[in-house]
Amino acid sequence: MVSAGPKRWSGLGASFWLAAGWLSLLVFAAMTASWLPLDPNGFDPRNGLLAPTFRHPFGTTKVGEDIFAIAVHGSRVALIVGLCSALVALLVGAPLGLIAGYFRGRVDTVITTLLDAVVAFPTFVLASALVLFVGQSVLTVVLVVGVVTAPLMARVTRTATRTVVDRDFVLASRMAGARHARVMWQELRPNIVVPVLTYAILISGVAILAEGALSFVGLGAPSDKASWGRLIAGGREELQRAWWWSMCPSALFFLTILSVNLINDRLQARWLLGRPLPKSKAQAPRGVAVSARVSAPAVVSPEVPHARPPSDSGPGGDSTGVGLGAMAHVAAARAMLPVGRRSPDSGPGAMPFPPGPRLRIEALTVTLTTPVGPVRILDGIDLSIEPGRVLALVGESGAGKTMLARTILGMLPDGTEVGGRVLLDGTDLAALDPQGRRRKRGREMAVVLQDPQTALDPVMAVGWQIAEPARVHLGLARALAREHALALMASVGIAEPERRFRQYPHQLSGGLRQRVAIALALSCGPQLLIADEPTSALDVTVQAQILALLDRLRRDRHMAVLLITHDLAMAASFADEIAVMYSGRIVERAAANDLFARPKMRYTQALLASAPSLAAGSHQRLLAIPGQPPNPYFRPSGCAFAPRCGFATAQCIESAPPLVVDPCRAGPSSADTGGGGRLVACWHPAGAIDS
Amino acid sequence: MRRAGSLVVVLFLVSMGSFLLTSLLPGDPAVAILGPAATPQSLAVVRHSLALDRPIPTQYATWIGRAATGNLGRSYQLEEQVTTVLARTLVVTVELVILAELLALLIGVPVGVWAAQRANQRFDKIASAVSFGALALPQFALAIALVLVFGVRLHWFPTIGFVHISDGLGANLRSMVLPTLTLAIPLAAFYTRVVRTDMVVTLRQPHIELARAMGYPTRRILVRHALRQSSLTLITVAGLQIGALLGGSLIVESIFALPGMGRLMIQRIGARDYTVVQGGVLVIATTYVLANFGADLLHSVLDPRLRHDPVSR
Repeated sequence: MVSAGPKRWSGLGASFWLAAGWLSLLVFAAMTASWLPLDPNGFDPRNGLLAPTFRHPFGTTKVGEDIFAIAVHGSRVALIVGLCSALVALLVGAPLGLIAGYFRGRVDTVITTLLDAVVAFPTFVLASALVLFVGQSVLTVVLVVGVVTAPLMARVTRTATRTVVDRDFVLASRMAGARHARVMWQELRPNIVVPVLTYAILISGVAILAEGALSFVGLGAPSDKASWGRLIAGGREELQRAWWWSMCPSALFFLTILSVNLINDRLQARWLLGRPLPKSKAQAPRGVAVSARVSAPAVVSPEVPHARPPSDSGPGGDSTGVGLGAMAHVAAARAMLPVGRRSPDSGPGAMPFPPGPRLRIEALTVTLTTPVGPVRILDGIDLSIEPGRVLALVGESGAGKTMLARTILGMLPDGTEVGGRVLLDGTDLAALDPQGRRRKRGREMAVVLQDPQTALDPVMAVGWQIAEPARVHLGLARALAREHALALMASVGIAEPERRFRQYPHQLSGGLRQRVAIALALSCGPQLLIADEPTSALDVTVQAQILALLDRLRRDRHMAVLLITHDLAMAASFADEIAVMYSGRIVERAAANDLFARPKMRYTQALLASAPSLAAGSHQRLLAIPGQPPNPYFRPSGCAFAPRCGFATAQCIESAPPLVVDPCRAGPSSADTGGGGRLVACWHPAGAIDS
Repeated sequence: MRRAGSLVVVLFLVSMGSFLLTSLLPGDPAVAILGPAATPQSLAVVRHSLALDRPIPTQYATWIGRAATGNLGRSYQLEEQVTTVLARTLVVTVELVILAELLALLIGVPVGVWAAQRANQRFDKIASAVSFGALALPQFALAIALVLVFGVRLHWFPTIGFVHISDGLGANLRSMVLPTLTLAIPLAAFYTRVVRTDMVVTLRQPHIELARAMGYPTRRILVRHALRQSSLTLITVAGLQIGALLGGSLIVESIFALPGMGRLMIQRIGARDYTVVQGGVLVIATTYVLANFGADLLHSVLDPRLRHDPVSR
């Protein structure tokens, strides 16, 4: 069933092969036991209770039987029981589980209920009863273990079936009119065979153990059959004088079960690692799913964010007073903190909003340590954000936007090398120890993530989630933190905060969830808000509301916002300044309207040309940027965009252009770009004297 | 509540199974009581007095009717009410199961949580290897090894016999140390792996990322956010284990000579004392079913996603 390809068996690790080796040895021993010069019945009372020696590797029993000989013969019983029980479980349990998982409804209920009842019976009583019914034999043991494990197998199969039964290719096959049996055999079986077979391996281990336990209490293999469990039971009486009698066969059990578990574990890990796409004999209509994903980017007209949110979102605009109330709470809480825990700006004599940029990044380089060597993820980033202003970081996925956010937050993986400086209100974050950085997070800088569905704790009431930062960082007591959270909820336009407070994320709409996430981020009154694709997971209508909310909050709170997005239209409408990132570098930085109107860098141009715009009308074709962003492992030495750029020359390929003030300032003076002026990293910017 | 409906059906099947299992067994209780030399007439008298001459459905109806009122009949041989015998042994087994569960959770949960936090680092690798090994230990072998080391060699704990709680809690606990360890060691390994596997997934979720990004202390993130979510899985698994331990404590009871349920069952089957066996199986199986049902119920009460949305189950 498992097709053996050359790659299928690679990468399983040495432990797998050791385990397989041990089991092979057992099989060999079981098959050749009769021909080996080992007599399991060799009486010799003179040689009773001999400690292990070369002649008797496992010692002898009281009557002088060679324990090693018995153990070798006993491996037969162990293996037969292991294999046959797994087979019984597979033949009985797997079809039941498959049927239950496939048909669901009443069939599922009946099968599940029956199996639940069987599992509830104590194994040993079942075993004793069966022994009384059909007598003591290896077959009885197989029967008992089969009855006990088949329901478990059915359960596993049912679960595996249910994970694939709703997939497109199964539905397609059913809609095409295939018979149930055919769907189950052709579509489902190939997709559940791995979890089911690995579980069968596990069951064979369980069966070997069960045989041991049954033989141990005298219900297993009949007394004329050599069995490990029986050996251990016998040795129990002589534990004081002959530990080897029960310990040697115990070790055999241990090694065998360990091997079985290891093989199961390795196979499963291997399968999970290299899990192929769902297999189907009849090819699934995959194209449907793919084409459905190619949806148009959100179209947001530049005016929208300044409009008020529609009235159905609750008291969105008129909550400034409440918002200030919340701020007052936080300010009070900050004042109560011991001096050592205060943030610099709340210290005595410090102005509430110190002059200068909130966030300043200077010559930042980040190099990740990976198994294949160091990889430079960010390369010489310079930027700054003034209080109350929004800087949008725009670029394709993989450009390093999120990495930059993580760097600012100090949440890079261990072993990452960071060069340059990240200053938050003049404090160098890199100079802080991890604890110090942690205290800055959430209190002085906060984040709003892309998908509020997953970014909120699903099992915690949203009100307490909003209250949590204030409790952690400001030490607010429960009641006070609750008040604080309620005020925040009102300030982000959540209607009926009292009722919403007790609700859980799954009970809220996407827009409300994002409002909750924003309230959470604002809990401690951060001076810097990092919004990582804050609207990408939301409906278009809700996007505008959330942007409007963020816009109002940054004005009210004089908060610097770093907006990470791949949506140029959104960046243009909401940000004061835009920085375009490409392959770990900033390639263009300008005032938002300026950049949008007159892109200089060729990549920015291409990016703009690939975004739909209302003004351009429907007759204009959208241009896709050919090629792909460079792999950071093999970044070109020159301009990273050169391979995809229509204007590239030998100079572009040879050396990377620095980010400099635009050589040919065609546009009006860019006074509102945060002091940096208009910066471009391009050898052949648009608007230059293009030959 | 569809689950409650299926619970009733499962309980019915279980009760019927436990009755049939024993009534259909070969071997005549009357013979067991009177001995092989009994005359046919006296056997018939005994059978009649035990209602064994009636049709099986009638016998079942009578039995389950009485069982519902807490009367499981009299033991054929012990001259006692079945409920009295069961209660006496159940105390021992339940104590064993509770101690083992507690110890296993106390070890397994923290180790699993920390292993997940340090995934693929040294602590995780050691914990993973140790728990993997512990899972491969057969109960009977582990029990004997513990007896050998702590009883026979070190003389730290008694290896056999049971001291009732009424004879002193300290002595009682001392006599329970090795049996508890036998059950708890593989169980702790199991919980370690369950918690670790679940937590590793939980810790990758964006809301944990957010908690880190909001600067919450690691301990708070692990306990308040990650474990809180992962404990839902743990509850279901632990519920299953309670039932399994209750029915599977036989080996431990027989090795350490604890007068518990498992040992009682095997003895009474051997003696054809079927009223006790029927009652015992009913109690064990019902407890198993109820423990699972309780865990499911607890899960759906604790998980707000299920609490407010009963249709999706």
